[in-house]
Amino acid sequence: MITNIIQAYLTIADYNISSADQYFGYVATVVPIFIPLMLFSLFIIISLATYFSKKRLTGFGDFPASFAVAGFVTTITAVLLSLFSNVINPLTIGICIIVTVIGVIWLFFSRESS
Amino acid sequence: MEFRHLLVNFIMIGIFAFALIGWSIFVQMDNSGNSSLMENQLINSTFVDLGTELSSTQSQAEGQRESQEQENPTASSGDLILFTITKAGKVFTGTIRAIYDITIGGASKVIGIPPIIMAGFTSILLVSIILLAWSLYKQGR
Repeated sequence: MITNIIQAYLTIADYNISSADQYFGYVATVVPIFIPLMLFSLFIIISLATYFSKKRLTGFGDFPASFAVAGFVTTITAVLLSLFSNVINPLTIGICIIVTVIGVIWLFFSRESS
Repeated sequence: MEFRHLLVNFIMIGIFAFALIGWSIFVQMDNSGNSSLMENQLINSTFVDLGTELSSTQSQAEGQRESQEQENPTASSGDLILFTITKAGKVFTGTIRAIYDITIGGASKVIGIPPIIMAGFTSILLVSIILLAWSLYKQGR
């Protein structure tokens, strides 16, 4: 009865792993939101780190530039992750590209207005 | 915001988006990526549409430049107008285009910059020349 209600969890032994990169595939298969959350964390860390680093060094921060840089790095990471099988889907990469383009638009127009 | 800066910003954003998507696609193709972006209809159509728009921008800018060169200045009664001003504008345009073709145009072929990227820069140059020639005609400087 319980086995009918609870779905069997895919353990790492059930997943056919033959190389190290397939661990990413296993994680992405078991927890589909893991890779998007990892990319989002990377984006937040880089944007805030570059913003506060510049603010500490120069006295003022440039958040549009930090946003664009973080988007660029996140997109590169997403594209590199797509070279492994079953790790990331094209929709996630598309979202990364869109966020990066939005960051670039913001950067260009913030420079113009300032 | 000036019109020229607005136009340059939008063309630069278009070139950047095209380059980013193109880089992602070519990295996947060259390394046998498993989730090819070209299989995604949304990204594929966006990439193709963006390339088409950037390519057509150059031809439209060329058309505007040719129209601008064919214009003859008009003057109201009592105004003094020197038609050589517009001739100077045409010489100015030709000189800049020649220098551009010799330097950046040649270098782009050697380096291998895609034609669409160069079309974007050519569009920016042509629109800037048109606006500068208009400024020359209107203000005489």
